[in-house]
Amino acid sequence: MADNVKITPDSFKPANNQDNTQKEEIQAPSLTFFQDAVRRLKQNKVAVVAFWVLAVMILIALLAPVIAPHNPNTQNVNYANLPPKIGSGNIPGFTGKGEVAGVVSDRYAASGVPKGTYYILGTDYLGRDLLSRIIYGTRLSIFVAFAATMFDMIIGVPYGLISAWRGKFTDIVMQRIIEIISSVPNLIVAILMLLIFKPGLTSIIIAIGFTGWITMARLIRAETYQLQSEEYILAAQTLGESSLKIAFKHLIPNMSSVIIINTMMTIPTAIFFEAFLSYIGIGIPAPNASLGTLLSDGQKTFRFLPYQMWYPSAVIVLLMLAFNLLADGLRDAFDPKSSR
Amino acid sequence: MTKYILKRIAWIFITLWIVATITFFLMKLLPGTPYTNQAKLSADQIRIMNEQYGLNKPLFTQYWVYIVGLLHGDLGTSFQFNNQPVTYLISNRIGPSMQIGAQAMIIGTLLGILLGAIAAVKQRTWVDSVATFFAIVGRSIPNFVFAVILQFFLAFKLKIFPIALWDGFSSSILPSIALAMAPLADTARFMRTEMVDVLSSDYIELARSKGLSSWQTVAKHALRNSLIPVVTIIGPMAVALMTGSMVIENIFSIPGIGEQFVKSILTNDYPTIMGLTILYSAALLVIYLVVDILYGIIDPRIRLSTTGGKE
Repeated sequence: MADNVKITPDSFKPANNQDNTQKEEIQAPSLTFFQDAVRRLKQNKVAVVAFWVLAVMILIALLAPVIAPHNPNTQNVNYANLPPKIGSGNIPGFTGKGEVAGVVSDRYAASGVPKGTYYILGTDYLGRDLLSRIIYGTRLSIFVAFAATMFDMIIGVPYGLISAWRGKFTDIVMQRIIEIISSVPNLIVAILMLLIFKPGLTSIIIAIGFTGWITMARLIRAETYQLQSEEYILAAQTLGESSLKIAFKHLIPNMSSVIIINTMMTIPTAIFFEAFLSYIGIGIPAPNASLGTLLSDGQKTFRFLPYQMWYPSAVIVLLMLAFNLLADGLRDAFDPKSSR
Repeated sequence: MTKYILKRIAWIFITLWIVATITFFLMKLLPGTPYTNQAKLSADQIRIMNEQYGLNKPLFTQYWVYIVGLLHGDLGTSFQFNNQPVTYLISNRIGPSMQIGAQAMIIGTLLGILLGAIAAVKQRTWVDSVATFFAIVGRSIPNFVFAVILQFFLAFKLKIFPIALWDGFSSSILPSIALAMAPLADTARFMRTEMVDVLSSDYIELARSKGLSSWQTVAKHALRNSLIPVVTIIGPMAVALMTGSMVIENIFSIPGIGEQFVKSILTNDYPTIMGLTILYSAALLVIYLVVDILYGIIDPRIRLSTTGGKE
């Protein structure tokens, strides 16, 4: 084989030096860490769908006063427990007909509701529009979740940072405090706090926020310990940078993915906590709507008026599902090494 | 090892003391009164009641009496339930809660391990997607919603189970399933992650190259090794079961401690709230300790050190 190959000097020619410069050129645009993560997130179809579902829900929540067809707290006992109806009641499932003592009849006519007035998802036992209450309830859930999460970021991140950065005795004391708080189930801590405060929105946010920061503080502490031994941190210290500046310029930016992922993971928990507390009757005080109070009201009449339970349930499940899926997507995007 | 355990046990007692102290003073800060219809009571009646419950003594004396009582296993007297001691209330009600909790834990972990393992073995196929989606859905449905849905279909419509009463095993099935949802979803997620890691390790490659069938590889090598870290989620799982029981027991009318806790919150029954908080905390601390010891025994790579503990 080898004998057949003839290599002559003119088989070789000098390489074109000018082309080399082009070869070295980087074809793809250089991406920052965040651009890269966003690119990966966009490839994840489930996460994108979850993102848009959330975007729509948040938009509806923000525009609640404009979108809600009725005032959520206006009672009208004559119109109590009306079934769902849209327009003139031609759409199946939204006909305005309901069963009373085994006989199906038009509840709207029976209650003397004027023509043209309808409640898309029906009314509750006090004649309040269910759809409007669900919209306001969702608004409240989302607001509580975001506020509580901010709260846990404001406590959790500095707590973890200080604990790891100061180390030694400070660290021991701070970790012991965390251990003591986490020796009581979170929800019970929240309940005890709610008992002391005046019932209301602020108390719920504080109670949920106060219990949420533990995980964040632990993660940040572990992360800070790791980053502390990095050379750029040592360099910054050697150059006489103040601790505060190192924290803001070096540590926090490098932990941003941990912070973002954990924040997203906390939101569904916060939504659940709020619903749970309102459900057992120590959350949002009446008459304001919360998904938890709607569920607890709906459950009482579930057998006869199942729609009053189904719609709030569907909304809270959709909300939590979307946040969970987006959180999973974000984790995969920011931390591609973790394969879920 | 012994030194480590003793140290941990001492720390458990200190933690419980701190928890008891904080809850005691929190309860004293509470607005409202333990007496229903206080407005209708005369000043004399209130004075007599306060004397009976020891509420007229100085705060520190009350605290001292409470802590000394606690050391003797006395949690005080309930304000609401005919002057029953809190310990009596709890011991009467802990049985059903324990039973449902244990059943939920068994259902949750076993199914969760199975689901997670299947998802990991069938990685990146539709089976994996379905299992993962199922786990996320399980995490997204609040347990009280799931419980009501179960109750509606299986008890009310199909009449397979009793709707809400406490009478033997058949009435414990629905609440156990409702409670098992969260542990199931968490175990499945965790199990999948661990198993995916283990399946790509060298010793699994070796087992495969030795000619073991894929079933044998999974059952004998992968499953065992991925189960070790799953032990660590028992702690969070216990928390989920404790808090979950509060609503689940209410929905299914089970005379357990979760239902009692909610009831005492709604009626300002301070001694019962304190007693149950300390009980939950004690149970959780013991579970954390057992998990840490178990973890050290199962995984010899982790040695419980006398100096640090977990890290």
